[in-house]
Amino acid sequence: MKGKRFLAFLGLSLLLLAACSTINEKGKEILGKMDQISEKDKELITKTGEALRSSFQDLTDEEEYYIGRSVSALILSRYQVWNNEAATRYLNLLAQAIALYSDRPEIFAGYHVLVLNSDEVNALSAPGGFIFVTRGLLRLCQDEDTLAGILAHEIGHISARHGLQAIKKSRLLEAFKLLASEAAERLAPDKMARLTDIFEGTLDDIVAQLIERGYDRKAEFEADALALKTLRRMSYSEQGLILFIEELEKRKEKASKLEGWLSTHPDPEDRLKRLQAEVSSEGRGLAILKIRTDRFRRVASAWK
Amino acid sequence: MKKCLYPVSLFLLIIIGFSASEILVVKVEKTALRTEPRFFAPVKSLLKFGDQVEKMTLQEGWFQVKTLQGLSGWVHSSALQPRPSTLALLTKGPKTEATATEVALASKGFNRQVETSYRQRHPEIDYTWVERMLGFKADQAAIEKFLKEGHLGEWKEAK
Repeated sequence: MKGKRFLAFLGLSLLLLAACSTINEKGKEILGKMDQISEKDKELITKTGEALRSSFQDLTDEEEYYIGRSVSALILSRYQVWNNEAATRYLNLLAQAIALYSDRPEIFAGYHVLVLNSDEVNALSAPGGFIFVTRGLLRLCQDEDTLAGILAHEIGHISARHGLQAIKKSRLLEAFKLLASEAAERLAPDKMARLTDIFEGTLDDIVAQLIERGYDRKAEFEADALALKTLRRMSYSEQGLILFIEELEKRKEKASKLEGWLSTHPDPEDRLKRLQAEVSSEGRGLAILKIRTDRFRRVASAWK
Repeated sequence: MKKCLYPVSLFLLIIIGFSASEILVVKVEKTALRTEPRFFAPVKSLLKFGDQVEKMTLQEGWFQVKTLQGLSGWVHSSALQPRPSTLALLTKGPKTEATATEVALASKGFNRQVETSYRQRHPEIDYTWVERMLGFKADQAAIEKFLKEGHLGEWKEAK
């Protein structure tokens, strides 16, 4: 008797499973036809979505990328590019390898590095994965582990969207409100003009922070903590970043070329204290391997 | 009577399971569907911005997903974002935060059109190096070789 009941149970379950499978297929069919939902529904969904956006965290990766492109163009209007193929290839290989071990390995169009032909010691990271380092900064690095620490720090800023935090909230809210008010596929000319005004203001907010004010201490410390985490995952020596900050600390009194860095970064002494407290004993103990330093030196001879 | 409840419960569980199945959307320009949850695993297929996949599991930052064509594999979570279920989308009632960001995916915003409008106002701003920069892309094999040589990441113990 028990056997019959079991068979009945099994049979019914199989029937139900088949029914579910049909439902599942139906679901996928609907999903596949998502593009075919009515224009009216699309408008409603879009408007509701825009109305719900309220902070920089609600900007999409695509928007972050388009903001980053223009911020980068503005940075490049103030600096000359150092066009050295070997150095550029090495820096991009290094940064893109590091990014894979960061908290945000995938970003809209990837991470990219460009060298600025300036003696100033500085590194800038625009939203969307654009990283700029000066020749002056590269000259201060003695090995790959140190450079990896600096790039991991910049990737940390991008990963945590620190650049976007500079955008004035009122600007963002106006943009979201404006977008919510327009359901058509393309914005009307007057609305596009207003959105461009807001975009321009957004770029000014970010560029002012990157070049003039720098990130706040909280963002800098967070980028350091993210860098240490990334370096640890890769087995780069965490000592590299510390050595670099120590070097800045030693030079800060006399070097005018550090002005850019010092005006946009917290006091190296404060950063050093924090870093030393956060560095792991394992990470501190990792050796800076000769093979890495050798390949670094082969490229570094160009920027010396 | 009690026994009849088993298949009914099973049916309900399956229905709940189906309705809980989550659709994810690719939020980056392109990404890869891999055979294992790691960047250096073989690539099964490429996915592009806006592609939709069904979430199966999440494991240490990687989603196991199934494409609309039925191909399953792994995609890093930073390349995907949630999309409300088909039903939620069709019932005109998106109310969650996930919905807000998801819907924004397909909507207007700071996009190519806005950049074009900005560039028309400021023809003096040069994007040449920005475009060149985007072309600086190390391929996966070069990154793997670089890491191996440097005893880094998955190859930290390499001899």
